[in-house]
Amino acid sequence: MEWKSDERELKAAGAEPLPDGRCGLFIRGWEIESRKRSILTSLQLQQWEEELQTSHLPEMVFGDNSLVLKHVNTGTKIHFNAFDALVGWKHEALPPVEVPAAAKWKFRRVAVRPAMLYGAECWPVKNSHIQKLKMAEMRMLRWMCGLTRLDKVRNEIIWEKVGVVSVEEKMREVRLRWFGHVMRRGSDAPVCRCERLALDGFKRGRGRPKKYWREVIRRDMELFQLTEDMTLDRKVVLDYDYTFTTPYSGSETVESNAELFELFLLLLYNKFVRGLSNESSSSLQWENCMDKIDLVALASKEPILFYDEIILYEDELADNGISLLTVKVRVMPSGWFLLLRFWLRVDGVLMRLRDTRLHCLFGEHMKSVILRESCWREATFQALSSKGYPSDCAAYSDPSIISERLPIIMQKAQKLSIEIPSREMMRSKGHLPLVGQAGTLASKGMSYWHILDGVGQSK
Amino acid sequence: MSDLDKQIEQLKRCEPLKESEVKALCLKAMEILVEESNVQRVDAPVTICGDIHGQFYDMKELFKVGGDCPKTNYLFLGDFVDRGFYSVETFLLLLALKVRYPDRITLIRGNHESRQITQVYGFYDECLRKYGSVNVWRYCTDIFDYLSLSALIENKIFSVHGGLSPTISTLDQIRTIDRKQEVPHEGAMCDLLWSDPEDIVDGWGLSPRGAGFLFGGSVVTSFNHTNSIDYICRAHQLVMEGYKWMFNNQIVTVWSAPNYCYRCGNVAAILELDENLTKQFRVFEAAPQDSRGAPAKKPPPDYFL
Repeated sequence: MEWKSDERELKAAGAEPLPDGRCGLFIRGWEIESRKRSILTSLQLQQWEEELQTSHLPEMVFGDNSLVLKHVNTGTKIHFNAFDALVGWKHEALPPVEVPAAAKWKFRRVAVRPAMLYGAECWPVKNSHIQKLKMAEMRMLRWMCGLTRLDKVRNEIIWEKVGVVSVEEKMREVRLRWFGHVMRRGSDAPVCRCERLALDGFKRGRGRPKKYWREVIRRDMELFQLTEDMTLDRKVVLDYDYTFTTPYSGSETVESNAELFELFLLLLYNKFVRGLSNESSSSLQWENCMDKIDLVALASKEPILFYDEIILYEDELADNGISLLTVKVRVMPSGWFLLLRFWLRVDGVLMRLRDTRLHCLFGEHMKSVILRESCWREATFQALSSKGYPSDCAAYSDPSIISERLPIIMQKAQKLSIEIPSREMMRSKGHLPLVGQAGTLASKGMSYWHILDGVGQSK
Repeated sequence: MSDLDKQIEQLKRCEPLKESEVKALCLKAMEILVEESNVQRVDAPVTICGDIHGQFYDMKELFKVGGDCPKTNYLFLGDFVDRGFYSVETFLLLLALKVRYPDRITLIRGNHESRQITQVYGFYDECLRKYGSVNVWRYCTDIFDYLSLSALIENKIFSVHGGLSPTISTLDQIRTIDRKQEVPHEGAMCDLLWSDPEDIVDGWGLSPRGAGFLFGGSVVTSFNHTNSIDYICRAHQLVMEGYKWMFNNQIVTVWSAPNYCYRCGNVAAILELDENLTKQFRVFEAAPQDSRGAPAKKPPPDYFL
């Protein structure tokens, strides 16, 4: 199913395919290569989890897939891979998007029960209290099922049907949770100090001693054969950005090669004499600009010499939508164009599109100018339906159809010129981008994505 | 040769049935499925298969590896439809085999056997495309409601599509569920079809996605002990190697869709149990391109912007 290029067209454009069955081509000083492999194995996934310090990765990580665009003479390499994108995800660490199922689940737990059991964790409950609560709850449950006591349906059957446990068990649960919470607090916390209060000069009245909370807890723990330290356990709620949203816009390195031997010497000079270190890569000098990618020129039906679409990772959000990071590339005689797209649909909740487009125009003397445009769009299903657009998920399987309807929340454009440095330039500058101006790496974090003001205000 | 046998032959060539035939087939299947228990008993020897997801030609590979249906006794753990190109043919073939050999093939329900999910992930669109109406989708989704929820092999191996539920500790509790309905959004029935085992939680965990629960090793240990079963066999999650044991061999995931979505490059597996319940995993790859009917077309260049 691979797309095949036309040999004559390749020749006319001065391009040639890569050797040894590699997928891609040489054209005008660029080596463009795509790699498509299987998803990571379980063992590899484990290694990635360790390296990224996470226990969650997308279901399908195409860790060996990549797209590499290399400007051979300068060693400038722009490339796309899943690992760096996931580093971006880890770094951005958005809070999880809430889905309706979870909201509903929370409603049951958050709205009805707590109203009844407000403060129940601290009550020294008596049997009479439990009886009253049980009655109130059964009345509600019967009402929920549309049954009355005249229907003669057993309580157990109603519990089963509604899928809830009895209020008594629930109270025990909140009590034990509260106990665990109190135990975890330091002994100086006000809540703990209360426990130690001694009542001086208080004379106990006649009759049965009052029931204390501690006693209730002791009974609960006996019932479940719990020890104090077991109540310190928390129920795990996994709280991470399961959408794998990433700010990734590609990776870049500058590699030295034989032709840049002089530069290499300069690097050694910088490293050992001037004390500047050169990590394995250095960032390129992108400049913010007002230029726009020329979509009209791109729409012209120039022959396509190379085309590919590479998936970096994908997750089905446990059948609640899709999270997909892909990069598409096409190479024409006049230049190359690529689209890195993060596409997220959380069914019934949210759609998010983060596009990065790179357009490189081939110039004279192996000089190239690359324009990079990033555009982030986002909308909730609710916002879409209020504008009269359909709100069922089936209508949004293809992001390109929906993209125009989603409001833009961030946009920016940057430019990069690539040319072989002349000797004069090297001498005048003292060192070259290879080594990186001292501030390059530091300023990278600063210039990274300044989100436009008015997020959420854009109507 | 009976009509049913002819239909099976036709479906094996990946040719869908007529709408009227589908209707009749579903009616017959309903009569059989309605009699099944929520925890359907299955005798060994049996071959257990995980998700298929409409990958018809890969399912034919599965039958090549595992043997033809009446000869081999099969248990399919759900997710027959969606995502692949041939959900209609895949499900109808399995259903026809069920009607023809009710004691030699067991189908249980996966989370994709639901009206809501199939409308988003492909089966609905495929029915509409292949039949011009959604009647076939209606017949099939009505049948989904009758599929059993789990199976118990020789009282020793519990099989389910997703996993366990915090509201269920015994098999008898599963037996009391009224299953003839659309998969609900919560509760025991939903959990059985949706939940996943998870290393990093010990008891019960909640996924931020809100779909199903996550359960840890201790939950599996106590469930297996309470119900005196050896291990749980489930599907529902993609595994690159086709199958994966967890929690000290107390639960195994079996995945039977090779090269999932036609691009993952994973292998698939089925689990063969002989009469002594001796396990053998058979791993297989996707069907070669030339056996896939439709020829690979050269896609036109995409002038994406």
